[in-house]
Amino acid sequence: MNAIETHGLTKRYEGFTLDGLDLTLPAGCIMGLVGENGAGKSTTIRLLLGLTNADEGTATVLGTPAGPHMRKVKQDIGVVLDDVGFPAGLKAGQIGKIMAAAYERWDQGLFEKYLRELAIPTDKKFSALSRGNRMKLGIAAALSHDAKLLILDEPTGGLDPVVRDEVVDIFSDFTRDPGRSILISSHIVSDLEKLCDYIAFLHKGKLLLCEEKARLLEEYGLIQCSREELAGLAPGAVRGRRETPYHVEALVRRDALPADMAVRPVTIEELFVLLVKEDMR
Amino acid sequence: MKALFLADLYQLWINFKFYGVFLLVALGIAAFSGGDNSMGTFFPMYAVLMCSMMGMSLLQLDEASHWNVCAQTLPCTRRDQVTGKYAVTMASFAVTWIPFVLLYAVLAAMGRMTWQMMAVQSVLLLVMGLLAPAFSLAPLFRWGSAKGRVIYIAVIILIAAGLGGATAAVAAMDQISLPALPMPLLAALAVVIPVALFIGSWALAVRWYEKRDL
Repeated sequence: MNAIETHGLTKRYEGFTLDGLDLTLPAGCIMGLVGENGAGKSTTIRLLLGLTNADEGTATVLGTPAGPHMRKVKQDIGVVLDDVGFPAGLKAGQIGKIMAAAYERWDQGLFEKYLRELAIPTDKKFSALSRGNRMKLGIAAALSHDAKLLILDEPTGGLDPVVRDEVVDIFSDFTRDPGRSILISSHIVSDLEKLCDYIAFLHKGKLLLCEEKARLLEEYGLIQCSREELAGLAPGAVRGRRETPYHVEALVRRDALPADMAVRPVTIEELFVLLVKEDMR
Repeated sequence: MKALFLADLYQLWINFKFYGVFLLVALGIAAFSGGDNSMGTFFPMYAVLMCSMMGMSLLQLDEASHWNVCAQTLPCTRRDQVTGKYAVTMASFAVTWIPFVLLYAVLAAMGRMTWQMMAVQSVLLLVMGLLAPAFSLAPLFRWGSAKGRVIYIAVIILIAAGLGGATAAVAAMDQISLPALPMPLLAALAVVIPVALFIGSWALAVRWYEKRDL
Protein backbone atom coordinates (compact mmCIF):
# COMPACT_ATOMS: atom_id res chain seq x y z
CA MET A 1 0.00 0.00 0.00
CA ASN A 2 1.19 3.52 -0.75
CA ALA A 3 1.33 5.88 2.20
CA ILE A 4 0.16 8.80 0.07
CA GLU A 5 -1.37 8.95 -3.38
CA THR A 6 -2.74 11.96 -5.24
CA HIS A 7 -4.27 12.02 -8.70
CA GLY A 8 -4.93 15.28 -10.50
CA LEU A 9 -5.14 17.11 -7.17
CA THR A 10 -6.15 20.69 -7.89
CA LYS A 11 -6.83 23.68 -5.67
CA ARG A 12 -7.52 27.15 -7.01
CA TYR A 13 -6.94 30.35 -5.07
CA GLU A 14 -6.90 33.88 -6.40
CA GLY A 15 -3.50 34.20 -8.05
CA PHE A 16 -2.40 30.62 -7.42
CA THR A 17 -3.41 27.16 -8.59
CA LEU A 18 -2.07 23.85 -7.44
CA ASP A 19 -2.43 22.19 -10.77
CA GLY A 20 -3.26 18.51 -11.18
CA LEU A 21 -0.74 17.09 -8.72
CA ASP A 22 0.09 13.39 -9.18
CA LEU A 23 2.22 12.14 -6.33
CA THR A 24 2.91 8.71 -4.85
CA LEU A 25 4.79 8.03 -1.64
CA PRO A 26 5.39 4.30 -1.22
CA ALA A 27 5.04 2.95 2.33
CA GLY A 28 8.36 2.88 4.18
CA CYS A 29 9.87 5.79 2.23
CA ILE A 30 10.70 9.42 2.89
CA MET A 31 9.69 12.02 0.33
CA GLY A 32 10.90 15.60 0.36
CA LEU A 33 8.74 18.34 -1.11
CA VAL A 34 10.97 21.10 -2.42
CA GLY A 35 9.75 24.40 -3.78
CA GLU A 36 10.12 28.15 -3.49
CA ASN A 37 7.71 30.23 -1.36
CA GLY A 38 4.21 29.91 -2.76
CA ALA A 39 5.06 26.84 -4.86
CA GLY A 40 2.21 24.84 -3.31
CA LYS A 41 3.96 22.75 -0.64
CA SER A 42 1.76 23.82 2.26
CA THR A 43 -1.36 23.67 0.09
CA THR A 44 -0.50 20.07 -0.80
CA ILE A 45 -0.03 19.17 2.86
CA ARG A 46 -3.28 20.90 3.87
CA LEU A 47 -5.17 19.04 1.16
CA LEU A 48 -3.74 15.72 2.37
CA LEU A 49 -4.83 16.47 5.94
CA GLY A 50 -8.33 17.58 4.95
CA LEU A 51 -7.67 21.11 6.21
CA THR A 52 -8.52 22.39 2.74
CA ASN A 53 -11.01 20.94 0.27
CA ALA A 54 -9.76 20.08 -3.22
CA ASP A 55 -11.46 21.59 -6.27
CA GLU A 56 -10.59 18.57 -8.40
CA GLY A 57 -8.75 15.28 -8.12
CA THR A 58 -8.32 12.81 -5.31
CA ALA A 59 -5.92 12.23 -2.45
CA THR A 60 -5.63 9.18 -0.23
CA VAL A 61 -3.61 8.94 2.95
CA LEU A 62 -2.83 5.42 4.25
CA GLY A 63 -5.65 4.19 2.01
CA THR A 64 -8.26 6.68 3.31
CA PRO A 65 -9.63 9.49 1.13
CA ALA A 66 -8.45 12.86 2.43
CA GLY A 67 -11.16 15.24 3.62
CA PRO A 68 -12.90 16.81 6.59
CA HIS A 69 -14.39 13.46 7.69
CA MET A 70 -11.03 11.73 8.36
CA ARG A 71 -10.83 10.56 11.95
CA LYS A 72 -9.58 7.02 12.52
CA VAL A 73 -6.68 7.24 10.07
CA LYS A 74 -5.33 10.26 11.95
CA GLN A 75 -4.41 7.89 14.79
CA ASP A 76 -1.64 6.77 12.42
CA ILE A 77 -0.49 10.20 11.28
CA GLY A 78 1.88 12.53 13.08
CA VAL A 79 1.75 16.12 11.87
CA VAL A 80 3.93 19.16 12.30
CA LEU A 81 2.64 22.25 10.52
CA ASP A 82 4.80 25.27 9.71
CA ASP A 83 2.89 27.18 12.38
CA VAL A 84 2.57 24.85 15.38
CA GLY A 85 -0.70 25.85 17.00
CA PHE A 86 -1.20 24.59 20.52
CA PRO A 87 -3.42 26.65 22.85
CA ALA A 88 -1.39 29.68 23.89
CA GLY A 89 -1.79 29.44 27.65
CA LEU A 90 -0.88 25.76 28.05
CA LYS A 91 2.41 24.23 29.16
CA ALA A 92 4.09 21.15 27.67
CA GLY A 93 2.65 18.84 30.37
CA GLN A 94 -0.92 19.97 29.68
CA ILE A 95 -0.38 19.59 25.94
CA GLY A 96 0.86 16.05 26.63
CA LYS A 97 -2.38 15.30 28.49
CA ILE A 98 -4.47 16.57 25.56
CA MET A 99 -2.47 14.39 23.18
CA ALA A 100 -2.87 11.40 25.51
CA ALA A 101 -6.64 11.91 25.35
CA ALA A 102 -6.51 12.11 21.55
CA TYR A 103 -4.26 9.20 20.61
CA GLU A 104 -4.90 5.56 21.54
CA ARG A 105 -1.18 4.69 21.37
CA TRP A 106 0.17 7.82 23.08
CA ASP A 107 3.46 7.08 24.84
CA GLN A 108 3.89 9.57 27.69
CA GLY A 109 7.36 8.22 28.53
CA LEU A 110 8.55 8.76 24.96
CA PHE A 111 7.06 12.28 24.92
CA GLU A 112 8.92 13.15 28.12
CA LYS A 113 12.10 11.68 26.66
CA TYR A 114 11.81 13.98 23.62
CA LEU A 115 11.08 16.96 25.90
CA ARG A 116 14.37 16.25 27.71
CA GLU A 117 16.44 15.40 24.62
CA LEU A 118 15.29 18.45 22.71
CA ALA A 119 15.62 20.67 25.81
CA ILE A 120 12.05 21.98 25.57
CA PRO A 121 11.14 24.19 28.57
CA THR A 122 8.25 22.57 30.46
CA ASP A 123 7.64 25.45 32.85
CA LYS A 124 6.74 28.00 30.17
CA LYS A 125 3.42 28.58 28.48
CA PHE A 126 3.32 27.72 24.78
CA SER A 127 2.91 31.40 23.88
CA ALA A 128 6.14 32.21 25.76
CA LEU A 129 8.23 29.65 23.83
CA SER A 130 10.52 30.70 21.00
CA ARG A 131 9.61 29.62 17.46
CA GLY A 132 12.28 26.94 17.61
CA ASN A 133 10.98 25.52 20.90
CA ARG A 134 7.39 25.56 19.61
CA MET A 135 8.53 23.59 16.60
CA LYS A 136 10.40 21.12 18.83
CA LEU A 137 7.31 20.64 20.98
CA GLY A 138 5.26 19.98 17.84
CA ILE A 139 7.84 17.44 16.71
CA ALA A 140 7.86 15.72 20.13
CA ALA A 141 4.05 15.44 20.03
CA ALA A 142 4.04 14.12 16.46
CA LEU A 143 6.59 11.42 17.29
CA SER A 144 5.03 10.13 20.52
CA HIS A 145 1.99 8.18 19.35
CA ASP A 146 3.52 5.45 17.21
CA ALA A 147 2.46 7.02 13.90
CA LYS A 148 2.88 5.17 10.61
CA LEU A 149 3.17 8.36 8.61
CA LEU A 150 4.68 11.72 9.46
CA ILE A 151 3.52 14.75 7.50
CA LEU A 152 5.88 17.63 8.19
CA ASP A 153 5.60 21.16 6.84
CA GLU A 154 8.89 23.02 7.26
CA PRO A 155 9.62 21.24 10.56
CA THR A 156 13.24 22.38 10.74
CA GLY A 157 12.46 26.08 10.17
CA GLY A 158 13.57 28.19 13.11
CA LEU A 159 15.87 25.52 14.53
CA ASP A 160 19.58 26.15 14.99
CA PRO A 161 21.92 23.92 12.93
CA VAL A 162 22.81 21.62 15.85
CA VAL A 163 19.19 20.93 16.81
CA ARG A 164 18.27 20.67 13.13
CA ASP A 165 20.82 17.95 12.68
CA GLU A 166 19.50 16.18 15.79
CA VAL A 167 15.93 16.41 14.52
CA VAL A 168 16.89 15.07 11.10
CA ASP A 169 18.51 12.10 12.88
CA ILE A 170 15.30 11.54 14.87
CA PHE A 171 13.27 11.51 11.65
CA SER A 172 15.76 9.14 10.12
CA ASP A 173 15.45 6.79 13.14
CA PHE A 174 11.66 6.95 12.81
CA THR A 175 11.80 5.20 9.44
CA ARG A 176 13.95 2.30 10.68
CA ASP A 177 10.65 0.51 11.11
CA PRO A 178 9.95 -0.50 7.49
CA GLY A 179 6.24 0.35 7.63
CA ARG A 180 6.80 4.01 8.46
CA SER A 181 6.85 6.86 5.96
CA ILE A 182 7.51 10.59 5.96
CA LEU A 183 6.39 13.42 3.71
CA ILE A 184 8.46 16.48 4.53
CA SER A 185 8.55 19.92 2.99
CA SER A 186 11.48 22.22 3.55
CA HIS A 187 13.42 25.13 2.15
CA ILE A 188 16.53 23.65 3.69
CA VAL A 189 17.34 21.30 0.85
CA SER A 190 20.47 19.98 2.54
CA ASP A 191 18.25 18.45 5.27
CA LEU A 192 16.14 16.74 2.64
CA GLU A 193 19.21 15.54 0.80
CA LYS A 194 20.36 13.77 3.99
CA LEU A 195 16.98 12.29 4.78
CA CYS A 196 14.90 11.54 1.71
CA ASP A 197 14.47 8.59 -0.62
CA TYR A 198 12.30 10.56 -3.04
CA ILE A 199 12.37 14.21 -4.01
CA ALA A 200 9.44 16.10 -5.53
CA PHE A 201 10.05 19.56 -6.98
CA LEU A 202 7.08 21.92 -6.98
CA HIS A 203 7.18 25.17 -8.90
CA LYS A 204 4.29 27.61 -9.25
CA GLY A 205 1.78 24.93 -8.31
CA LYS A 206 3.09 22.34 -10.75
CA LEU A 207 5.15 19.25 -10.18
CA LEU A 208 8.43 19.77 -12.04
CA LEU A 209 9.91 16.43 -11.14
CA CYS A 210 9.37 13.52 -8.77
CA GLU A 211 12.09 10.88 -8.63
CA GLU A 212 14.11 8.70 -6.35
CA LYS A 213 16.92 10.83 -4.95
CA ALA A 214 19.63 8.34 -5.90
CA ARG A 215 18.33 8.20 -9.44
CA LEU A 216 18.21 11.99 -9.75
CA LEU A 217 21.82 12.27 -8.62
CA GLU A 218 22.75 9.52 -11.04
CA GLU A 219 20.86 10.96 -14.01
CA TYR A 220 21.89 14.58 -13.67
CA GLY A 221 25.24 16.30 -13.48
CA LEU A 222 26.93 19.66 -13.97
CA ILE A 223 29.27 20.70 -16.74
CA GLN A 224 31.30 23.82 -17.32
CA CYS A 225 31.78 24.83 -20.94
CA SER A 226 31.56 27.68 -23.43
CA ARG A 227 28.31 28.83 -25.02
CA GLU A 228 29.38 27.29 -28.32
CA GLU A 229 30.07 23.89 -26.72
CA LEU A 230 26.70 24.06 -24.99
CA ALA A 231 24.92 24.82 -28.24
CA GLY A 232 26.52 21.72 -29.77
CA LEU A 233 25.00 19.32 -27.24
CA ALA A 234 22.11 17.03 -28.08
CA PRO A 235 18.64 18.55 -27.76
CA GLY A 236 17.13 17.74 -24.35
CA ALA A 237 20.54 17.27 -22.72
CA VAL A 238 20.53 20.66 -21.03
CA ARG A 239 17.94 21.11 -18.26
CA GLY A 240 19.28 24.31 -16.71
CA ARG A 241 22.10 26.81 -16.96
CA ARG A 242 23.93 29.53 -15.09
CA GLU A 243 25.89 31.92 -17.28
CA THR A 244 28.89 34.03 -16.28
CA PRO A 245 31.01 36.30 -18.53
CA TYR A 246 33.65 33.53 -18.72
CA HIS A 247 31.74 30.28 -19.06
CA VAL A 248 28.43 28.51 -18.72
CA GLU A 249 27.57 26.06 -15.97
CA ALA A 250 24.84 23.72 -17.13
CA LEU A 251 22.66 21.09 -15.57
CA VAL A 252 22.65 18.16 -17.95
CA ARG A 253 21.27 14.67 -18.34
CA ARG A 254 24.30 12.41 -18.24
CA ASP A 255 22.86 9.91 -20.74
CA ALA A 256 22.55 12.58 -23.43
CA LEU A 257 26.20 13.65 -23.29
CA PRO A 258 29.23 12.43 -25.22
CA ALA A 259 30.96 9.68 -23.20
CA ASP A 260 34.23 11.60 -22.82
CA MET A 261 32.68 14.76 -21.39
CA ALA A 262 33.68 15.64 -17.81
CA VAL A 263 30.62 15.84 -15.58
CA ARG A 264 30.67 16.67 -11.90
CA PRO A 265 27.98 15.49 -9.45
CA VAL A 266 25.09 17.83 -8.72
CA THR A 267 23.51 18.49 -5.33
CA ILE A 268 19.74 18.46 -4.90
CA GLU A 269 19.85 22.19 -4.16
CA GLU A 270 21.74 22.97 -7.40
CA LEU A 271 19.40 20.69 -9.31
CA PHE A 272 16.33 22.48 -7.96
CA VAL A 273 17.65 26.01 -8.44
CA LEU A 274 18.77 25.37 -12.02
CA LEU A 275 15.54 23.57 -12.97
CA VAL A 276 13.43 26.42 -11.60
CA LYS A 277 15.54 29.08 -13.30
CA GLU A 278 15.29 27.24 -16.60
CA ASP A 279 11.53 27.00 -16.20
CA MET A 280 11.37 30.75 -15.58
CA ARG A 281 13.32 31.58 -18.76
CA MET B 1 -13.52 14.58 21.19
CA LYS B 2 -12.19 14.01 24.74
CA ALA B 3 -8.99 15.84 23.79
CA LEU B 4 -10.93 18.81 22.46
CA PHE B 5 -12.98 19.00 25.67
CA LEU B 6 -9.83 18.83 27.75
CA ALA B 7 -8.27 21.66 25.75
CA ASP B 8 -11.44 23.72 26.21
CA LEU B 9 -11.48 23.01 29.94
CA TYR B 10 -7.89 24.21 30.28
CA GLN B 11 -8.72 27.33 28.27
CA LEU B 12 -11.82 28.02 30.37
CA TRP B 13 -9.83 27.68 33.56
CA ILE B 14 -7.01 29.91 32.33
CA ASN B 15 -9.15 32.62 30.78
CA PHE B 16 -12.51 32.59 32.58
CA LYS B 17 -11.92 31.42 36.14
CA PHE B 18 -13.14 34.75 37.53
CA TYR B 19 -16.51 34.12 35.96
CA GLY B 20 -17.32 31.88 38.97
CA VAL B 21 -16.88 34.88 41.28
CA PHE B 22 -19.07 37.03 39.03
CA LEU B 23 -21.75 34.31 39.03
CA LEU B 24 -21.77 34.24 42.85
CA VAL B 25 -22.05 38.04 42.97
CA ALA B 26 -24.93 38.00 40.44
CA LEU B 27 -26.70 35.28 42.44
CA GLY B 28 -26.24 37.31 45.62
CA ILE B 29 -27.64 40.48 44.03
CA ALA B 30 -30.62 38.54 42.64
CA ALA B 31 -31.23 36.93 46.05
CA PHE B 32 -31.14 40.21 47.98
CA SER B 33 -33.07 42.27 45.43
CA GLY B 34 -35.79 39.65 45.12
CA GLY B 35 -35.38 38.79 41.41
CA ASP B 36 -38.46 40.62 40.17
CA ASN B 37 -37.04 44.11 39.72
CA SER B 38 -34.57 45.65 37.33
CA MET B 39 -31.47 44.84 39.48
CA GLY B 40 -32.60 41.28 40.06
CA THR B 41 -33.23 40.85 36.35
CA PHE B 42 -30.24 42.62 34.82
CA PHE B 43 -27.50 40.74 36.67
CA PRO B 44 -28.85 37.23 35.99
CA MET B 45 -29.33 38.11 32.34
CA TYR B 46 -25.86 39.58 32.11
CA ALA B 47 -24.40 36.44 33.72
CA VAL B 48 -26.31 34.18 31.32
CA LEU B 49 -25.23 36.27 28.35
CA MET B 50 -21.60 36.12 29.43
CA CYS B 51 -21.57 32.37 29.87
CA SER B 52 -23.45 31.74 26.64
CA MET B 53 -20.69 33.62 24.80
CA MET B 54 -17.97 31.35 26.18
CA GLY B 55 -18.10 28.99 23.19
CA MET B 56 -17.52 31.96 20.91
CA SER B 57 -14.71 33.31 23.06
CA LEU B 58 -13.03 29.88 23.04
CA LEU B 59 -13.33 29.70 19.27
CA GLN B 60 -11.70 33.10 18.95
CA LEU B 61 -8.88 32.01 21.25
CA ASP B 62 -8.45 28.84 19.17
CA GLU B 63 -8.16 30.84 15.98
CA ALA B 64 -5.73 33.32 17.52
CA SER B 65 -3.39 30.48 18.53
CA HIS B 66 -4.17 28.36 15.41
CA TRP B 67 -5.34 25.53 17.67
CA ASN B 68 -8.44 25.20 15.46
CA VAL B 69 -6.12 24.04 12.64
CA CYS B 70 -3.81 21.97 14.84
CA ALA B 71 -6.83 20.22 16.40
CA GLN B 72 -7.86 19.07 12.94
CA THR B 73 -4.64 17.09 12.65
CA LEU B 74 -5.73 15.05 15.71
CA PRO B 75 -8.12 12.11 15.33
CA CYS B 76 -11.28 14.21 15.20
CA THR B 77 -13.53 15.66 12.55
CA ARG B 78 -14.85 19.13 11.87
CA ARG B 79 -18.20 17.95 13.25
CA ASP B 80 -16.48 17.02 16.53
CA GLN B 81 -14.90 20.44 16.74
CA VAL B 82 -18.22 22.23 16.18
CA THR B 83 -20.07 19.90 18.55
CA GLY B 84 -17.44 20.51 21.22
CA LYS B 85 -17.95 24.27 21.14
CA TYR B 86 -21.76 23.95 21.22
CA ALA B 87 -21.48 21.45 24.10
CA VAL B 88 -19.20 23.80 26.08
CA THR B 89 -21.68 26.62 25.43
CA MET B 90 -24.55 24.45 26.67
CA ALA B 91 -22.61 23.29 29.71
CA SER B 92 -21.54 26.79 30.74
CA PHE B 93 -25.11 28.00 30.17
CA ALA B 94 -26.48 25.19 32.36
CA VAL B 95 -23.95 25.98 35.11
CA THR B 96 -25.35 29.52 35.19
CA TRP B 97 -29.03 28.99 34.41
CA ILE B 98 -29.75 26.16 36.87
CA PRO B 99 -28.57 28.07 39.99
CA PHE B 100 -30.72 31.05 38.99
CA VAL B 101 -33.80 28.85 38.44
CA LEU B 102 -33.20 27.23 41.84
CA LEU B 103 -32.77 30.67 43.43
CA TYR B 104 -36.02 31.90 41.85
CA ALA B 105 -37.80 28.77 43.13
CA VAL B 106 -36.54 29.45 46.65
CA LEU B 107 -37.62 33.11 46.39
CA ALA B 108 -41.06 32.03 45.12
CA ALA B 109 -41.38 29.49 47.94
CA MET B 110 -40.52 32.24 50.43
CA GLY B 111 -43.17 34.44 48.90
CA ARG B 112 -40.69 37.05 47.66
CA MET B 113 -41.80 36.61 44.05
CA THR B 114 -44.78 34.95 42.42
CA TRP B 115 -44.50 31.50 40.81
CA GLN B 116 -45.62 33.07 37.54
CA MET B 117 -42.80 35.59 37.73
CA MET B 118 -40.39 32.79 38.59
CA ALA B 119 -41.43 30.95 35.38
CA VAL B 120 -41.20 34.10 33.25
CA GLN B 121 -37.73 34.98 34.56
CA SER B 122 -36.44 31.44 34.05
CA VAL B 123 -37.76 31.26 30.49
CA LEU B 124 -36.38 34.70 29.71
CA LEU B 125 -32.91 33.61 30.85
CA LEU B 126 -33.22 30.45 28.75
CA VAL B 127 -34.20 32.44 25.67
CA MET B 128 -31.29 34.87 26.12
CA GLY B 129 -28.80 32.11 26.87
CA LEU B 130 -29.66 30.07 23.79
CA LEU B 131 -30.39 32.76 21.22
CA ALA B 132 -27.10 34.62 21.60
CA PRO B 133 -24.90 31.61 20.68
CA ALA B 134 -27.47 30.31 18.19
CA PHE B 135 -27.10 33.48 16.11
CA SER B 136 -23.38 34.06 16.67
CA LEU B 137 -21.62 30.68 16.63
CA ALA B 138 -22.53 29.47 13.15
CA PRO B 139 -21.26 32.65 11.39
CA LEU B 140 -18.02 32.39 13.37
CA PHE B 141 -17.54 28.84 12.08
CA ARG B 142 -18.38 29.96 8.55
CA TRP B 143 -16.28 33.10 8.24
CA GLY B 144 -13.80 32.83 11.08
CA SER B 145 -13.47 35.13 14.06
CA ALA B 146 -12.22 38.14 12.10
CA LYS B 147 -15.30 38.44 9.87
CA GLY B 148 -17.63 36.68 12.28
CA ARG B 149 -16.82 39.31 14.91
CA VAL B 150 -19.01 41.82 13.06
CA ILE B 151 -21.97 39.48 13.45
CA TYR B 152 -20.93 38.79 17.04
CA ILE B 153 -21.01 42.53 17.81
CA ALA B 154 -24.38 42.95 16.06
CA VAL B 155 -25.82 40.11 18.15
CA ILE B 156 -24.42 41.64 21.34
CA ILE B 157 -26.06 44.98 20.48
CA LEU B 158 -29.39 43.30 19.71
CA ILE B 159 -29.23 41.19 22.85
CA ALA B 160 -28.28 44.22 24.95
CA ALA B 161 -31.26 46.08 23.52
CA GLY B 162 -33.46 43.07 24.20
CA LEU B 163 -32.01 42.78 27.68
CA GLY B 164 -32.81 46.43 28.38
CA GLY B 165 -36.33 45.97 27.05
CA ALA B 166 -36.88 42.79 29.01
CA THR B 167 -35.58 44.41 32.20
CA ALA B 168 -38.01 47.31 31.77
CA ALA B 169 -40.84 44.91 30.89
CA VAL B 170 -40.24 42.79 33.97
CA ALA B 171 -40.15 45.92 36.15
CA ALA B 172 -43.55 46.95 34.75
CA MET B 173 -44.96 43.42 34.64
CA ASP B 174 -48.15 44.19 36.54
CA GLN B 175 -49.08 46.89 34.00
CA ILE B 176 -48.63 44.63 30.98
CA SER B 177 -51.50 42.62 29.66
CA LEU B 178 -50.11 39.35 28.29
CA PRO B 179 -51.36 38.03 24.93
CA ALA B 180 -54.49 35.98 24.98
CA LEU B 181 -52.53 32.72 24.60
CA PRO B 182 -52.54 30.33 27.57
CA MET B 183 -49.43 30.72 29.75
CA PRO B 184 -48.22 27.09 29.44
CA LEU B 185 -48.38 27.33 25.63
CA LEU B 186 -46.45 30.60 25.66
CA ALA B 187 -43.83 29.11 27.95
CA ALA B 188 -43.55 25.99 25.81
CA LEU B 189 -43.13 28.08 22.63
CA ALA B 190 -40.57 30.29 24.37
CA VAL B 191 -38.55 27.17 25.22
CA VAL B 192 -39.02 25.17 22.03
CA ILE B 193 -38.16 27.96 19.59
CA PRO B 194 -34.74 28.88 21.08
CA VAL B 195 -33.85 25.19 21.54
CA ALA B 196 -34.78 24.49 17.90
CA LEU B 197 -32.78 27.52 16.73
CA PHE B 198 -29.78 26.37 18.80
CA ILE B 199 -29.90 22.87 17.27
CA GLY B 200 -30.43 24.35 13.80
CA SER B 201 -27.46 26.64 14.36
CA TRP B 202 -25.30 23.60 15.26
CA ALA B 203 -26.33 21.76 12.08
CA LEU B 204 -25.60 24.84 9.95
CA ALA B 205 -22.24 25.37 11.68
CA VAL B 206 -21.20 21.75 10.94
CA ARG B 207 -22.18 22.16 7.29
CA TRP B 208 -20.39 25.48 6.91
CA TYR B 209 -17.28 24.44 8.83
CA GLU B 210 -16.82 21.29 6.76
CA LYS B 211 -16.71 23.42 3.61
CA ARG B 212 -14.35 26.02 5.01
CA ASP B 213 -10.65 26.02 4.12
CA LEU B 214 -8.66 26.26 7.35
